[in-house]
Amino acid sequence: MLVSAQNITKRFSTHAALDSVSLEIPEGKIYGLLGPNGAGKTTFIRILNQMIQPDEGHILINGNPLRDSDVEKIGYLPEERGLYKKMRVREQILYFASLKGMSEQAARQELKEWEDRFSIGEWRNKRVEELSKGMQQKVQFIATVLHKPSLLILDEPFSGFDPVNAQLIKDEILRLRNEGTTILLSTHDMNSVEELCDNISLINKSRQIMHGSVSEIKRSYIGNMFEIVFSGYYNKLLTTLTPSFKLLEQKTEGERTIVKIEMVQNVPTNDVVQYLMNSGTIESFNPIVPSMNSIFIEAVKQHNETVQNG
Amino acid sequence: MGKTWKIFKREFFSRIRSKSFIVMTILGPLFLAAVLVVPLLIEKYEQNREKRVAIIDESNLLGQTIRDFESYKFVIVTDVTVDEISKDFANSGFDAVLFIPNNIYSSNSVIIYSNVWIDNALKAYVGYALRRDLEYMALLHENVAPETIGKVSTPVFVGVQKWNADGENVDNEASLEKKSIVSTVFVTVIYLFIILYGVLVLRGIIEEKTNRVVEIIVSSVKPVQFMVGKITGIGSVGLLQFVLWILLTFGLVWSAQLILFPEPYVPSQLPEMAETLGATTVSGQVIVPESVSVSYAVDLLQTLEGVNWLVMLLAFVFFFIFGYLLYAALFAGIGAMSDQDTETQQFIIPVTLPLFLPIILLPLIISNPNGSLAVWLSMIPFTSPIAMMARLPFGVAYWQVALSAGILFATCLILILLSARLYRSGMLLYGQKLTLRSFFSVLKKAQL
Repeated sequence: MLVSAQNITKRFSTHAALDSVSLEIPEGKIYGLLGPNGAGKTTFIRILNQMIQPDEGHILINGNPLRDSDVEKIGYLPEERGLYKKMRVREQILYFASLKGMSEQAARQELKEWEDRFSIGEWRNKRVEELSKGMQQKVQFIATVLHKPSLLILDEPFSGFDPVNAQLIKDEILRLRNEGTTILLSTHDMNSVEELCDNISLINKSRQIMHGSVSEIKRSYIGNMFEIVFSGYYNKLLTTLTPSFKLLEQKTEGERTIVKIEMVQNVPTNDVVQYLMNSGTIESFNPIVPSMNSIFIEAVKQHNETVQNG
Repeated sequence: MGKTWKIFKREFFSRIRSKSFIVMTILGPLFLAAVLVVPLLIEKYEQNREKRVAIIDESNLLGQTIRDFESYKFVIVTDVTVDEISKDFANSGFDAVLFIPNNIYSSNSVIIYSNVWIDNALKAYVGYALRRDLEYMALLHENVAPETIGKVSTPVFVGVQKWNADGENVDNEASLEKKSIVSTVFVTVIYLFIILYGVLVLRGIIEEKTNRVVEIIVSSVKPVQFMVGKITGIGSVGLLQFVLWILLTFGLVWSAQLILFPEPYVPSQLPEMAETLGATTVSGQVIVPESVSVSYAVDLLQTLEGVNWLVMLLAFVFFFIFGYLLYAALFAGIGAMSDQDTETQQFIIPVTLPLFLPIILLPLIISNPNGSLAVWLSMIPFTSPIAMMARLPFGVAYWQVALSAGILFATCLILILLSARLYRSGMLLYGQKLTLRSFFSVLKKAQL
């Protein structure tokens, strides 16, 4: 399912929650919706779920405007998990699936597979309140995906999971993606963004400030920082006394020395390498790829400053 | 409509399988049956036990004319004063003492002393018997011939006969009384049902908000589907429970009656009743109309033969259901606007006030079922379920019933749609305080 949001604007009485946000979620990919708390992610998700209507702009699904019946093709895992505490696990999952228009028989069959996958079959007749938090999260996840949605919206899907179960969920998300499900992932966990997302969109203060594929965004942030590993002999003095780059950090680990530098001007990389060869034996020379985490922080900081400066 | 049905099913089955439903379904009829049977039982026991009443008669005359009455046995005691008998009353073998002072001819008063409850029947009986005797003697004293006294003291019975518009006899006093009982029963049932199950709707909606299930629901179904499913689901639980209560209570009372009162039972307020019915008496001899029997319900049905039962039952079902729907929608709206149980408590009272109003005014409605107050209350949708049910047993013009039903129906639809709107937009108000301002702002922004 291809989702295209065009110039979505939503105002609440006191502030704008979304200001002309456009994004395109390609079919069969995992799309990360990132942003600080209160940026407008949840509002966007609610619009996509038809829980609220945008003031301006519209959403196209496979090129057609959003329809009432589209809710059945969407699976939504809200950040605030919600289950009926007194209901039994199985009843509950089947109930939610039926609200998404799935037939009882199909739901039962599908549920059996998920019970095996998450090994929670023995819990099926327990009441939700008797379950541990992690177990409840699993139930909630199954309830979200059981009806085989073509668009899966996951809001902080890993919160409340231990690392083992978080990995289990990650594997399931990847498997669903490989089966063709389009996934919108909203999370603050940047490691999982790097692991899972094909594309991202970063929203800050109701505006979209960055979007694109994860690898491209990272490449554009590579910049002028490099990490050089020397083995054996290393002359610190030579490295320090140069105008063409700045030494950021150096540390020695046994026989090796790891040095991080930032190039000052548009000095050709070859010149730098040639110069560094005098300091010792170069084992590797690599551009430093920034993490999504630092890109996130950097971009949000920059945007906040621009907003503040008018 | 498929999803509405699914929500209905969940609301209905999850509730009727709950422990509280099963417990209440069993306890309710037990309680009701106990309320109905225990007083009869106590009365029967009291009635069968002989109660001895000592008469200390300073007039030396009047006491002799008092005959035994029901389970009361009157014994004239002499040579004892009230003070003396009171000292060791517990061992005196008497349940009560009737003291007739020698100044009775001027004071016109006697006193019954007792350490147990003196029922009204005894009081009425003693007063009645002595009054007759005093009058008789006073008149004799004036040299009136006894035959003349008999004529003079003939009581006059004033009957009331109600006509309908065509001048046909409709109600007499006794049937009016019975109709007001039917009216009260209808009204009470509707009132209780609306309050009990309306609040359940409120609870359910707040529960979904605190559980955060609301977000999953709203992203799956339309609020109207949800509201209709929920309100009708809970209403059906109530209806089922109500029907079970009636059946079980009748069953229990009927079997209790078979076991405890195999022969027809006669209530004890007869002297009073006889008095009002104008039964003639000769000093102490109360002549009781024969027809008073235990099959009160059968009697009621006979009394109400003039009423169109089909219209009555249809109207009852309609006002019962739509009265509930109206208030359930109101409660649902409140629930949608807030997410804390405690916070909503303060809203329950103002919302149910219009429902309570006709209950307070019930005596007025019953005494004048076609007066303008009664008619207006039965047109306003917030009071009509109660007011119309109060009026119905007395006969209401069909066009009024139809109009009232129409108004109620329309208001219900509007309120359900409105509460559904509130549900969707109120959902975004987690943890926000429910104020009038936020209420109207949400209402304004609400979208279907």
